[in-house]
Amino acid sequence: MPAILQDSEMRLGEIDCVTTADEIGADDDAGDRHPLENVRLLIGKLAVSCRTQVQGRDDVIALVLTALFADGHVLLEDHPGSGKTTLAKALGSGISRAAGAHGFAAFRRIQFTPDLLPSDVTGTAMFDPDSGTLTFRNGPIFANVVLADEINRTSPKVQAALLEAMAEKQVTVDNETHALEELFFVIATQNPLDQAGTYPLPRAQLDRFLFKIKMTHLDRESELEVLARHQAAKSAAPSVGVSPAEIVAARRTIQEMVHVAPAVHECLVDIAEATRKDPRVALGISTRSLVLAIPAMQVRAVMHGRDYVSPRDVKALAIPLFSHRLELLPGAKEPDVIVAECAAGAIEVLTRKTLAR
Amino acid sequence: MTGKMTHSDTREPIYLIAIRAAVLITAVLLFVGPLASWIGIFAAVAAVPAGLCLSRVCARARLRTPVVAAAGAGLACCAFFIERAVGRGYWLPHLFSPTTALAVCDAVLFGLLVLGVVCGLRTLSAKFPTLAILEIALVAAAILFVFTTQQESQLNQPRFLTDWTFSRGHSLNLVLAGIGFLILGTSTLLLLQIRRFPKAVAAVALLLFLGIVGHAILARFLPVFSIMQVAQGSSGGQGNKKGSQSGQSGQSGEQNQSGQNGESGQASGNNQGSSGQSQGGGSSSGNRNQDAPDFVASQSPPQPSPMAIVSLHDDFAPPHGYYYFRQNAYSQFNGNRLVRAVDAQLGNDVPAEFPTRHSEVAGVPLNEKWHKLVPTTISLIAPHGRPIALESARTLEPRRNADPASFQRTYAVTSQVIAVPLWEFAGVKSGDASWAAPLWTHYLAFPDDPRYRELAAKIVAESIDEGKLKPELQKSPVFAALAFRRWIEKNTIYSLKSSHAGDEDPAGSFLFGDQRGYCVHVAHALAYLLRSRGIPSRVASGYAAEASRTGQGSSVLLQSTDAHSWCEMYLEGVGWVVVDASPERSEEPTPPGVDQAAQSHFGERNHDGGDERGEGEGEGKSEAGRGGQMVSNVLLGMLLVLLAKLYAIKIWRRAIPWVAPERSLYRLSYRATLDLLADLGFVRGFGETREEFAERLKTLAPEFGELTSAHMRKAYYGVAESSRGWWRGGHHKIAARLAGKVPFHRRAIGFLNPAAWLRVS
Repeated sequence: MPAILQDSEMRLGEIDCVTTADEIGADDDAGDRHPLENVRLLIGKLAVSCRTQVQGRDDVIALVLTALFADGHVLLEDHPGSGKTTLAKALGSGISRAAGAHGFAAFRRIQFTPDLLPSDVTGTAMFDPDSGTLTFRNGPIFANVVLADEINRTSPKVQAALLEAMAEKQVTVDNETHALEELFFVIATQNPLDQAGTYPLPRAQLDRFLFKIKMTHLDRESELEVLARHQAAKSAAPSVGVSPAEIVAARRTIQEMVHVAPAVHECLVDIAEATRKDPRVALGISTRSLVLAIPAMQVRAVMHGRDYVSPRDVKALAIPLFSHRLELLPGAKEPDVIVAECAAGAIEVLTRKTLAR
Repeated sequence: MTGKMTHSDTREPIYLIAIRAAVLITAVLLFVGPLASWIGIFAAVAAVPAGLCLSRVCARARLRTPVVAAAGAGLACCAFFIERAVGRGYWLPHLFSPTTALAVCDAVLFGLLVLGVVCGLRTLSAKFPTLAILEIALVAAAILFVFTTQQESQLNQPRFLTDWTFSRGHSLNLVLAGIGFLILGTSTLLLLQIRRFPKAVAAVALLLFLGIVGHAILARFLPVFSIMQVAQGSSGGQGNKKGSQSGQSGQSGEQNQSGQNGESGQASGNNQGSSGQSQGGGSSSGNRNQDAPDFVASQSPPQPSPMAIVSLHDDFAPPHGYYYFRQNAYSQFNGNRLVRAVDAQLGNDVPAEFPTRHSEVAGVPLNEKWHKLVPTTISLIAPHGRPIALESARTLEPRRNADPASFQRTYAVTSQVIAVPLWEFAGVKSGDASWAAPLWTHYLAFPDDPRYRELAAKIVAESIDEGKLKPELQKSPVFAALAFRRWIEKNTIYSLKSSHAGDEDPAGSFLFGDQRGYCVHVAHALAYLLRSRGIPSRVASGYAAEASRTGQGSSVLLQSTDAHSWCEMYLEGVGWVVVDASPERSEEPTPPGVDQAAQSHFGERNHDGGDERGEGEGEGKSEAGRGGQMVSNVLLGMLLVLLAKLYAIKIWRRAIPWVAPERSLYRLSYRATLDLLADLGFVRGFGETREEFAERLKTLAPEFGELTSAHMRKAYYGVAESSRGWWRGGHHKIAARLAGKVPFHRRAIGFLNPAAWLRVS
């Protein structure tokens, strides 16, 4: 594994410089703080809440939160029992909903199986004997955070239903379109090893996920901690109570206030060109992915207390952003390595520009 | 990067190590084999695995690269010094036998040399794969070394490589070119592996630079390598690029040129002597080491070319207006003409070998009344087979060649010249009373032709009749000689067209036939006439130059047109005296005069060398050349200019933040801080972002993080702290931190390092 890749994965773990629990406690005088500082604390609240329930996954938590605030979805690639449900649950529990809209939840989990039907996801019209009419019953997708477990186990039509929801934030059943909430975040998972009887996601559908995150096994320390805190975590799951509206507002703030220098745009284009020119790649990354990349980088900048996107954001996010979007030629493996190599050159150019006039 | 490479090296498969060791041992055997004794060879071969093991240790140890390189070079230099110290002292040979002492010297020299070179290079290439090129160059250089030295027959070893090539009819140059291409190909392949192109180019440039510098240095200072400097042909054209590493690359073009010219001249000279075809080399007698003067000459006088320059260090005006530079003497009559005496003792007053140390010529009588000693310095411009000397040489000494590009060699001769006119010897008898009968016979043999005796008698009688010769002096050999000379000058015609070459007695054919001929005929005729009168005589050849031609600084430039033969007679107590006649009538145009500019130019160069005593091995050493010196001077100059430039830029970059406008401070002051860090070896890696770099240095200089984020914010957002005080303050805080944490010697080296800023980006 090249040094660059090791580095960037290591850097993902720097979430501890985001926020600490102490900071979150002192949010009384939110008024005179910089709006971005408020956003940072908001993200920090969610991060701390997740971290208390999921140990040793700080890097994944950071990426998932980045996607949440960048209005994207994530695909987690991991082994069963590696804590993805816990993570999604923890995220869902951090979002508190006022008991309002009927059939909406902060968090829902859908376990995908081969015999699942689209209506099992989206919901369907049911006969209401009281009124004698067909009324639409919301499916599990009507939630703020949806865990789509083992998405590649289900048939393409179910996948398609989910993907429409992801892209359009709406569900169409019986020619009737039902809007989802503004905060709609899907955490899909797939098992990288057990491929028998699966429907692998086509590249075009993979493109809709902002990040594909590979989870590795926990290190020894974290694993020990998981065992030690297993009981305690169950008893006390603190709710931080972040409302969906707050998150949506934060998204807007980030988009408006975090500065993205033209050089960063150039760098992104450079990376895209490099992947397209790479002899191992059949199809390089799309322009859409570059558009999606910018909010993600803005979020990461805020998480690190900056109001501008720096080369480091590009470097840290390049692999989760781009590696699942490459269509490799036969024989080529390790898209992560290719992306890391392509990004390294562009990032070097971007970095050197600061000393130039 | 460094750490990674080191890591991979330690896991190198064993077969690779074995192959590398085998290749290195082969190269070492090739290189050391012809130079060292068995002990030395054994030590050198044993040093290869030792060096490889040591290099693995070095690669694992976290040594800095310059340290490794310096240690390797130091070890190699050490070898030379120890060898010198041990070999020059007397205690070792005294303690053991000289053979043991030699063996110890060899073992120390070659063992340490190979150990240092192998260990240094291997460690370097383990750290930087690019530098593996140096290893390839070394191996190639060893092969080329053997090839070129064998080609020039400078090693008395079985020339297995060249003989093999020749026996299959391949041209050696082709083989050398092949090796060159092979090396080129291998290094190109190696470079292709390294992705980053500028690095590869830099590596090649570095290699070339090292090669040139190495050549210049080694060729000048190491006698070991100078043995290869002698007259190289156009060998190693391709190989030179890499082969120059160890200094055996081709010499400057000038030298090659002259060497080849000399060879071709020699060839044509020989041709002419044997086949009788006249092709314009007749004048280059200096070139030939022939046994007899030729009766064959060119049809037309060739253009003069400079052959030698002679500087006279004492005033000497020859009594008859000509300087005679003797090279050969022919006294044995072989039935057709005079040839070099079979008995080497006869004619040993003419030195046959170039001096390698101070040597004296014995058996020349010296009489202060007639003789004068004239010290001279002679530089040969064209190759000569035997030394030339003004009349009779008494002492010879080698001298340093002041201008190897122009001169073949330089030596000093103290000549004994006859300072009085011939008639002063009127009362002197010819020959020597102490001579035995066979010697007299030897010097008096001439063709069995009564006409010589008749003519001689007639000439002597005529001159008595004309009153030119007093009867009481008619027995005087000198006056007979003068009479003959006078007669020949009056009665023969100088002509190059009439060579009488095929005749049984060319001199007789000349004298009694058409009376047309040139110096060789005249000299022979004179000698026979003298011999017929019982006067010992011989023919000598060399150069004759008009005394009036003496240029600035008493220098005489001898040209190919000055080649001459003349007659000499032996007078008791005087030695061999020149009796030369030049016919008054000539069918040939007057040869062009001497080129005064060339004469004074060569004369000056000759004087340069004349003052210094030559060394024993001076011959080989002096060949190293002005070309090499010029190249090294130019290189040194370029190096100094480059150094000055680097320092100027370094100072400029460090000082500019004081005067730059505040809006540029984020860039310039930050750059100065980066320079400061680079001086101490802290540089951002490729693809490493500035924040990561700052984080890496967090423990060393925490303030650097602040500066970095301010710099980044300004660069990517456009707003940041911009006061000079803030930026300079940060810089100085970092400088103070570094002063506290980095050891003094590293800071000193960094301060002096002119090129550290090049790594800042």
